[in-house]
Amino acid sequence: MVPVLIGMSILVFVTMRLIPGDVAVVFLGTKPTPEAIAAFREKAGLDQPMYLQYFDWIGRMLRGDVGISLTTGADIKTELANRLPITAELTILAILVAVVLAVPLGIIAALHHNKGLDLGLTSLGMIGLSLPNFWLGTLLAYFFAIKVQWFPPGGYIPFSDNPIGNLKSMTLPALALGLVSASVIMRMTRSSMLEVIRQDYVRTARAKGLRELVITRGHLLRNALIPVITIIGMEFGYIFAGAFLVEAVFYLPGIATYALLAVNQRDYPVLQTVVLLVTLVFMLVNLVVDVLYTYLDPRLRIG
Amino acid sequence: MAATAATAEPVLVTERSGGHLLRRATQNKLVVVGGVIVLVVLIAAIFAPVLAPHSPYEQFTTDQLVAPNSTYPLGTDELGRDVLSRLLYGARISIEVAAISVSIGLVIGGTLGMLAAFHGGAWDMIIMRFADILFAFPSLLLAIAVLAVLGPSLANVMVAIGIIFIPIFVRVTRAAGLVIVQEQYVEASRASGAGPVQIMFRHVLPNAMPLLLVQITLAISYAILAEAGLSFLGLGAQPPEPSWGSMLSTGRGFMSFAPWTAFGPGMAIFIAVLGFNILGDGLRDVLDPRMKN
Repeated sequence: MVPVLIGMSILVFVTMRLIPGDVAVVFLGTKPTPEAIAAFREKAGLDQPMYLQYFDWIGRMLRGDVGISLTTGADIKTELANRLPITAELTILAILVAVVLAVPLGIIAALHHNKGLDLGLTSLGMIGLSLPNFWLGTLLAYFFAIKVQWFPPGGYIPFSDNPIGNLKSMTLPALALGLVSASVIMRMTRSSMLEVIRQDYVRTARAKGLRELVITRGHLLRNALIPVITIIGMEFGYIFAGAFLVEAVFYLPGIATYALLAVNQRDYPVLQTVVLLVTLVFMLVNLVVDVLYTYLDPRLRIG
Repeated sequence: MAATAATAEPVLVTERSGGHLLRRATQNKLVVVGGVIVLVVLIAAIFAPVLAPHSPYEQFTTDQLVAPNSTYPLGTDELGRDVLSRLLYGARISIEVAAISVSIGLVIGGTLGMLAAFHGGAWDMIIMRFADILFAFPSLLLAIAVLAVLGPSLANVMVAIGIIFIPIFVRVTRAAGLVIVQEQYVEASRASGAGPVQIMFRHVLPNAMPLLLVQITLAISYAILAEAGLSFLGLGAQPPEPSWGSMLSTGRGFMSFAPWTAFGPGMAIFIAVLGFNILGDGLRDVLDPRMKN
């Protein structure tokens, strides 16, 4: 993981330096004097060789000093501290929607393998898998915010200001983001259950006269849900990245909106911080999933 | 999505007779349903100039935001352009972006994957670490970062999405290559003096093809989705290009009184992605015997 992390940070750093347009010109306005540009470059450390700039950047990152935005001059850390909770809330609610819907439905589909209910649920899963979250979000906003005004069509209300309003403003975005992942998780739950159902120990359990409910709980679920956890972990990362589109649909001022603003303004310190942060979270979640996986599946434990 | 594409491991299909596979494919309901949808999208893309009632760019200034009627089957947008004609030309953009980005991923990723499988050692280590690093990024974020560097345009979207596919195809071809390289007929062919390139094209590629075909189909579906998403964010197609994603993004603003401006492109993206997803699932059932449920 450490080599990947180092490689990733180098890639992010080099990629961001490739952004065309002189940062100094962006920062200083349309017609800066050459002296002003030179002074800015020196102050920002841009006159140093690339590898020194990289070490300087990594060093500051590790100390938690992520720098200031080139366009607004605002401290990126403060900005992130304001925006991260919004994206985090969206991600957590979306994963909640996904898991609460997908796992039971996947189990039901598997237990009714090849019957009408299974067919209906798998078809629904296929539809969900093919619905882009930004189109689903638009549809949800159209029906539940414009046609019947149950939820606001967009915008963010802080939880501390109005808890009910906050949840209302997050419901549609969380659904738009969560339902697509629910399809992926449901498909995985179903196929994982089907795999376990064929195992000998399930047949043995049935042969010795255990009730179906006991078999489902004790034998099927405990084994079938292990791969499902991996998929949930992976989906967590995809949901976090999918927030880029959903935040745009619902005008949520989270970190994705921040990064998009930075892309349009070529504000590379902001962009590289957000890319690094999101990727780091993505990798950490995968690491936690791996650890959880070994914990849940004794076969993978060594010694 | 990329998640599903990445987790599949290759299984060799020893059946080499094309006719048999084709018969099995046409008997699979998913392949048929998905295939028909894909065919409709392809026909729309190829024959857009013939099928479209109007030019996708022509602005009928007196007919702005007109509801669907006989002249404009799917209505007009805020500039008085025919939505149906724009959707048909939009299919061209989607298919073009998908074809080129998947080719980029396939050629670069496939070559690297085979090099890793063939040479092993340092080659393998360096290529796989590189793939791991690319894989560490959430795919959409990687595309956005690439577009930040290259600037927003459709051509750059193809490159950005192509880069997402590189690590996926590296892993698939490497895994297939590793298995096939150990087969006796490859050893025999090597003993009789065949070079690595010959072995790659004669043995590895044909054997990896069934699995690659499944990955390619799923990658196309992801490419259509990603192009639409990036254009939706304003990072892909630029006005007046009729990309489904940017049409949806603009149409959303008129949703409350002219919902057809958003419904057309939204449904078009959904149907195209659905078609390739169903086809990919069906092909996996037919070509990858291990995945049958």
